[in-house]
Amino acid sequence: MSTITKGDVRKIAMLAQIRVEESELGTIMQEISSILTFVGKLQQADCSFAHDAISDATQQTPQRLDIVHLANTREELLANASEAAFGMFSVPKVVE
Amino acid sequence: MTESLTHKTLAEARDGLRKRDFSSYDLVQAFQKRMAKYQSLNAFITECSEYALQAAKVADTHLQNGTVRVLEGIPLAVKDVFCTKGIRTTAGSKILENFVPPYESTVSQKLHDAGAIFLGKTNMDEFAMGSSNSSSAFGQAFNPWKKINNNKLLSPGGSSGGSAVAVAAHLCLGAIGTDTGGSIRQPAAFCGITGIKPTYGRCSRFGIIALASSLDQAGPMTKTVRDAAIMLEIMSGHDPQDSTSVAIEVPHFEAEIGASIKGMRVGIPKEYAVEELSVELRTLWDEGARWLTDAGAHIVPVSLPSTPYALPAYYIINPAEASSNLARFDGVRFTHRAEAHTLSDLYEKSRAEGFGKEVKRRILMGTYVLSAGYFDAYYGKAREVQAFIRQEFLNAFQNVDVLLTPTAPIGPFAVDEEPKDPITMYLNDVLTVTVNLAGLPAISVPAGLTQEKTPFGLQLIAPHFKENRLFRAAAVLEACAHFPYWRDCA
Repeated sequence: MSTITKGDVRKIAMLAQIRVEESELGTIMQEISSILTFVGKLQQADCSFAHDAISDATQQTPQRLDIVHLANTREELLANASEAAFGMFSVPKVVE
Repeated sequence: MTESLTHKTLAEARDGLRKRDFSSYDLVQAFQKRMAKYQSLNAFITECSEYALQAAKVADTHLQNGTVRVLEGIPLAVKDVFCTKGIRTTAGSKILENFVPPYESTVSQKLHDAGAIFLGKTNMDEFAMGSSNSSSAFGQAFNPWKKINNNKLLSPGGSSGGSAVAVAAHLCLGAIGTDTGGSIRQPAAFCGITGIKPTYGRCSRFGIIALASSLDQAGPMTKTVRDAAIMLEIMSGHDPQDSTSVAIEVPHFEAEIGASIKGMRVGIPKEYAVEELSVELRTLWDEGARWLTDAGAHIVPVSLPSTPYALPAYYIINPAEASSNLARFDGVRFTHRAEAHTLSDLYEKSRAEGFGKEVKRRILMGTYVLSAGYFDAYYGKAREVQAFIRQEFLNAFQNVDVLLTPTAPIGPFAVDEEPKDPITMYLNDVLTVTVNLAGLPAISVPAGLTQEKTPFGLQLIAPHFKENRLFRAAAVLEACAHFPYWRDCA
């Protein structure tokens, strides 16, 4: 369970949408395998007496008034765009 | 004159401003002069020079006409992970190098509304992933402290390294940081300052660029415990824009400073005496326990057997949440965009070019542990362990009021000697991550110097929403430590 292959790295890089070059696969495979070995210690933990106490739900979900308010304007949001045109985000043409 | 202003504590500066001993403009100018002098520390990614001077003029008007707010005219620094409206916010990453937020984080807004002035945005590990500040796309920040008889540059710790440097080197009166696994407390310990991670839900996370949303918390980093109490009181409170912030009364934390700890039960968890902790640091830990005993507290041995499982659980939950949170940075809307001819190319190349090595490693690791077939074995098990750790803390707090531990297993290391493999670097967090997994508050206080003359921090941990106990006990440690705050050699 604690080692992964170059093929696994290719697959997770594809899932994570990060380009990984062939030359990087070996190093990443080793690093992630060593992290997986380290975190694999968890399998030894006996958690049988712990109940699910992550959330105490100590408070009720707060309610707010249903009032429309303007958080951001189109101009403000587009100010950070890599490219913008006609009041919209502009992206490279990807369909022929 | 300049140094007499910059070396004040936040509380001293607050009182001096009100007595009109000096103006906010004088203060801001003094800090800006010092920021220029110590530019080589690389504490700031972005400086807000013009804004700060203008804000100081406004603050001086308030001070003159008697409409004084709590932090009127106080110059602070802000970790570059808090969105600041109109001021570039990078999270230490190339992918956000040109991002100027159209909105303000709740915590920075609260400080601004209280009259504070922001001198700039501080350096940090990229997306707060790191314990040395070395993963910043804007270069390493450097610890102002140096080892005796050794001129090597030291790491300030991380991820809030720039904030810790700015406070320690007197480049601001206080700073804000974020803590997901120790990112306020470990750099505070490395740089000889105070840093508190409040209870999860005490401060709003709205406008903080998320790393691991279930663990992230904002907190103050200051020269003294009193200053941390002053800042946290302002930063705290329920925010409708963060569904995990808790609607609970915010106490007057500053009133705890100087209060008696007579009868306080202080737990010493034996599992925190980890292998990596040196004999010298163990001795300093014992000394801290003696100081509290001398002040009237009772020391109680405590066992938290789940402690060894905390770091492995953390390094599953953190990458899992990070991989999800960072999916939004794709080159389409507001981030770095690579040249590409297909949609997949655009995503993959923009992210490959924009993210650094540690960020990519955690995204890949997180993607793996969340993928079909591995989810239960890794993420599911980590969540079980998290519940187990939390339960143990709750049990321990039936018998003790606070816990006392060292903050980090080692002191600041030279930047050219930092661990190259990720696991050794992750071990920096071994004494701090438990607190984040359990959602508890914890404070790091500078408690002395090692034989190499570098700072050493002690950590106090309290039950949920009992930060008042932390301030009370931390003030005692601080008073006993007589910590020699960093002074310029020049």
